[in-house]
Amino acid sequence: MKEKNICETIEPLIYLWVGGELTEEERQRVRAHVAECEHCRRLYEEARESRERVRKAGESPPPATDKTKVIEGVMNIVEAEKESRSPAGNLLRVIRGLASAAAVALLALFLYQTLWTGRGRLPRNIVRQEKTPSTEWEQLKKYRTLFGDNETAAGIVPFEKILAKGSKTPTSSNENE
Amino acid sequence: MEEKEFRRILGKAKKGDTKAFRRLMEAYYAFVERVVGRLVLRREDAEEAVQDTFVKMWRGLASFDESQRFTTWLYRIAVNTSLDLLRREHRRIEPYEPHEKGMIDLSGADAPLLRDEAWQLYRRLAASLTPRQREVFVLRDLEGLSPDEVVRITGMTSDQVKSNLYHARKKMREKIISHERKEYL
Repeated sequence: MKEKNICETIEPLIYLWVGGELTEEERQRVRAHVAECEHCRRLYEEARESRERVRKAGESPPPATDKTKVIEGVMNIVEAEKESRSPAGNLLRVIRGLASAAAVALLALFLYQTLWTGRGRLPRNIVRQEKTPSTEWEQLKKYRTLFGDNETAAGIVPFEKILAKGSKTPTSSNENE
Repeated sequence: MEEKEFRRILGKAKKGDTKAFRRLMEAYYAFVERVVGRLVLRREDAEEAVQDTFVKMWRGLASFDESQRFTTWLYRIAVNTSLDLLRREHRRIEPYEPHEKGMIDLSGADAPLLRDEAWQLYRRLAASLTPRQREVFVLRDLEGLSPDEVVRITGMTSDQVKSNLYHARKKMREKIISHERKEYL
């Protein structure tokens, strides 16, 4: 293996050597190479010195945080969570759940009334009044098949007769009469 | 806090005693503040991360397995909370432009000022690392944890820890050298 290739292989090990992360076998290999190679010996010295320098700098304490504010903030969250886990908190949660379910049911009922039936919350009698003309129209259609358009238009046949006839199914025998 | 007293308070806190939890929090405040501060690098972010760490500690206490080390467990919460914050916020720190030369002596009369300068130097160097590189660098080189502990806390493999350490140390060395070369020209 050429000298340059050996140095490339050794380089990562040098950075781990300065931190003491090598196995005994790796350590011996690096030590042997560094004893012979000027480039890697210089790299080792620089890696060791820069690590020490950053360690010294990093050992200085970070800027202090506001301990009182942080602890009070944590305790507020902790107390609130403990409260929600207590039996009283559980009961409160059940009540809230039931209230939510009731609200959803009411909303569903309202949507059914407005969207499905298309009549909103109209009183029942108004709804019935709307149904009546539709039923009469059906009866009138049946009457036309029995008596023809002229009698209907002239108003000769009374409405009771229409209803009476309308209840029977028109047949060919009726038409012959 | 003595071990026996710690176990007693921990037991009460696990059962939901908020006063015991508060005592635990006060006992470990400096520890969490230090770890989180070294990772997130900014005071305002550190306050948020410290608060989130303790809230998560409270939520996880009931299921904490007392056969494992409490500090290892707390390290994991603090580190994960800090990384979540870094990923969420995509914090940007100024590039490395320190004014210091050579090693910093923190034992003299100007120690407080020098400590602040030292912190600024670290902050700028650490800002050039990825969150994962910063995580292993802080745990291994600053907190002085063993490689096995770093593996347990980070959830990385041993090779991933070594790879991140290599890249972190290399990047920091190059930053320092390139700056010094510019100064001497």
